[in-house]
Amino acid sequence: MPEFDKWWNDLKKHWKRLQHWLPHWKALAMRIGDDRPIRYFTLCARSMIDVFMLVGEGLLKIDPENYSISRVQFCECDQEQFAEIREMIAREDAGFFGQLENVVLFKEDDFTAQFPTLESISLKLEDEGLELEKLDRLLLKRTHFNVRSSFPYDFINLDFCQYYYPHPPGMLRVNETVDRILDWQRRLSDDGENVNLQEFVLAVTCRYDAQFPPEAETRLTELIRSNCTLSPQYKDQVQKTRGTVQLEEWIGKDREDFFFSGWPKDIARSAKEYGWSMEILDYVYYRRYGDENNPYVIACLVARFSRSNLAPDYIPPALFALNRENRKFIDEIDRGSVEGRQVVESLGRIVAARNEQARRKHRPELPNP
Amino acid sequence: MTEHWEPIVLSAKVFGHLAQGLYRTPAGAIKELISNSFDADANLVRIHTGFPRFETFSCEDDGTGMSEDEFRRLMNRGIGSSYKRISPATVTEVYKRPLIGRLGLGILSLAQICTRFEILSHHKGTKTAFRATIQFPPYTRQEMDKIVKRLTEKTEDEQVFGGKYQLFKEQYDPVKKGVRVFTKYLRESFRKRMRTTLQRFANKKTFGTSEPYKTFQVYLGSIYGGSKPVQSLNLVSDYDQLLFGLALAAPLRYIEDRNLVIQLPMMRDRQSRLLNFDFQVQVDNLSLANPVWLPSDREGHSAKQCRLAGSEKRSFELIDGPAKEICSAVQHRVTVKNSDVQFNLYEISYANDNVAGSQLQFNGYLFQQTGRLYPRDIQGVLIRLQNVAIGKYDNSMLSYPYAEGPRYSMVSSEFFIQRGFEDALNIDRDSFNELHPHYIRLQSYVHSLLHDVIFPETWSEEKERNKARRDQAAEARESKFVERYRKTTGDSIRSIQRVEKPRTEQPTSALRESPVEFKGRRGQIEIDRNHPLLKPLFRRRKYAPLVEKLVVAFERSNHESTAPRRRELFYKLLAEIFSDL
Repeated sequence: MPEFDKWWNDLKKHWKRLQHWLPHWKALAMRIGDDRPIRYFTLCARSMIDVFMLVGEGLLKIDPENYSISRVQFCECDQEQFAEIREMIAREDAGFFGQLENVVLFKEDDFTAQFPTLESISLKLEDEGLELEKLDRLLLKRTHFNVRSSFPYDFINLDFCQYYYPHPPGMLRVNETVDRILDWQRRLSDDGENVNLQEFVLAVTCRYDAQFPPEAETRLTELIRSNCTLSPQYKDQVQKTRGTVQLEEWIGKDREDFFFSGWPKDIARSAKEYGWSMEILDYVYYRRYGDENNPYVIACLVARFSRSNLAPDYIPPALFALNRENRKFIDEIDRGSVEGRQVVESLGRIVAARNEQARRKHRPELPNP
Repeated sequence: MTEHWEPIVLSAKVFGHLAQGLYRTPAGAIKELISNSFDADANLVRIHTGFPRFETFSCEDDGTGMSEDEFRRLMNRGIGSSYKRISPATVTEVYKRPLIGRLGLGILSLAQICTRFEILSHHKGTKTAFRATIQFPPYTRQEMDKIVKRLTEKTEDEQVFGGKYQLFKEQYDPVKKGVRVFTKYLRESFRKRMRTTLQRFANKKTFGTSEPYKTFQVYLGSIYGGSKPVQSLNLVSDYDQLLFGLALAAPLRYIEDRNLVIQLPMMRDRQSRLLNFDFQVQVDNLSLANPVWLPSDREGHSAKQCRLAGSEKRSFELIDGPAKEICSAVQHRVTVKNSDVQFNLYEISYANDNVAGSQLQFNGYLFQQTGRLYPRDIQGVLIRLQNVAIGKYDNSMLSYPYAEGPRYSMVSSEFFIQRGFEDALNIDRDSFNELHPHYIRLQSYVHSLLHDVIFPETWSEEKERNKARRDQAAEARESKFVERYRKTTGDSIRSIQRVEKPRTEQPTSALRESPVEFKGRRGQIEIDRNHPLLKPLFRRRKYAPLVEKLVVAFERSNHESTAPRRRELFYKLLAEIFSDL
């Protein structure tokens, strides 16, 4: 059996796709209308369920002549998977090879700074005696330029499947990646279509568990503290709903709740900086067990960002995240239940469409969900 | 994990070839990977070039894979040695394909396009798998030249450091059987070549789009382009040339409704053998096939319109130095529906048990059309060894020694070597040793056939046909002018007649007469070509039609009553005349 991403057929995950991603993408697609094709960026992995879900819904177009899927871009750092995903999309210009965070957060050093353009990088790469380390740096910079110039996108699906704040060093890598992406979303597209987005939808999926790093906890404490200082309304809400404004006390009582309340603020802050007004459309979570039976939580934030004429305010999304009522918990789904059957049926349809493409491309098929 | 690298050891000979750029084109290098896959009984080879950025490259097959031992042997002086040559097998195990690979150069051919790559192999035979990283030496051009110079001064075959590799064992997985090659370390020279010429991308030239081709048929459509075929592949992008080169080189089926030669029974057999090999090559999602479309001319004649109409055995004397023998080829006349053109298709077959002491056998076809073949790259002779094209079409007809004008450009042929040529191949597997007796015999065969059978017959046929066409075109141009003349002047004229009036009077009085007579009632214009004013103008036949029109315009304008009206009409007629040129 070929190795597909472990959770591709998780019913809770698919429920999330169906109930908490799709309606928002459809709504945005309706607003965009037929003016231009939808632009989609994903970290889809080999199963590509999200891509084929959008194809099935008609949001992404598949060419009946050569079965290529238009306007999908992805990032993948595994060479085998990269080749396979690109082939399933059937467009040679789809995809960027590399890890999203590495590519997006490329940092200049004294060597790479000498080559500020793609042309100068190309010239330097002609020097075939270049040390591997330097060569890698230049190649990364080139990919960084290419990814940047592929922006903006209407839907961005960042299914990180890891901690939003990983253990240091690099605790803020994911957050900084999101921050940079929000910045790049302001670009006018380079592809001749001159797309200048007025709004887009971003879905960020990440993991939370008891191993949450203390450094990240300190960061969130400071973020929430500043909310309380800046917004009496926020402070009141904390007091009213958590029974204290002593953040250490709150953490002691419910760390998970503290995390859920805090991290969307990080994204909202970046949005404000780049002139995007952020509206949380959905905030969902579900529980899972790892290989060593270790429990963890998958949290997913779906937000709409729109160009704001006034200075955007991050308090509304922060208040939204604070309110426990706004978080939707996805419970275990019994395959035999009405909901379960619906989810399995939907997943089955997507898998069938995906496998049809896999057969055309002589690639491994997903088993029946 | 500590990095343990092992050296790649090459013989001086192989290194020397590599240093000089073993393959003339990227297609020449990549075709080696395809040949490896063919030998490994793969059904599908997938190549991704990373078009249009060309930042990554991958080649994956689903063949039997390469064992770790074989890989290590290749890395240690195995490349370029004749290991496969002494192997008793001549065909592959599953599909009985004739083995192509002889020198294990497939892996090294990648040095032409990248500096480092990763190879992953799941070997069916030993049920083992490995992953290896190969790093070619970071020699600069100068360093390479220095090493080559040092090696050429030595007499014995020395070992040279040809790079290094690192190998890791992997868990064997039957689903992953085959060899996969990946790299992001593409040589900038390769990328540059591919990218910079994309301005000349055939899709862009033909359809005005820089999008990737939707299908291989669409790609070929942009090359052959109906009545506007690409004249030469040099005029389109290197990417287009790569696609064409790979499709041509690989042992792939012909496109039945596009290639007339499939109508030959011998070629039908060949096609069915190719189909039985069950071998597909995909490049950037395009399923390749033999890219040659015959006929391919500016009139847009297609294979569908062509029919074989009668055949005749043609004998000729093959002269190869002192060796002489009578050979024959079957000439099939080809008629074209709704057209007066006639093509010829020659079915070729040759066998001799003793050409310099060994057997030589080949067959093939030679197609001759009326008018040039486009693109230029399918003109000439292509030799296939074990189904793989060696080099490109040779449009010098294997150095044909006589001047035959444009008739060279009307011939396209493929020769399939069935026996012989074992040692005639150069190490690059992309060219022949032209002094090898088998090569010389094939060359003599081609030259004798062309000189004694094909070219003499076509000369007079061609001349007549061209004359008829020229006349037809001139007539069409004239009637178009008459129609425009009628519209501009309002005269009811139907034709222009040329006459040569006898002249008895003094030339001075003749000068006062108009050389043009407008016979309104008969709807004719008569031009006296014997008129002393016109005679010098008709000295160059080439310009006669133009002169006639100008004279008619001038004389007709003179009939107007005032100077402004004369001027106006004259310029109007001039505009009509020149709008057609």
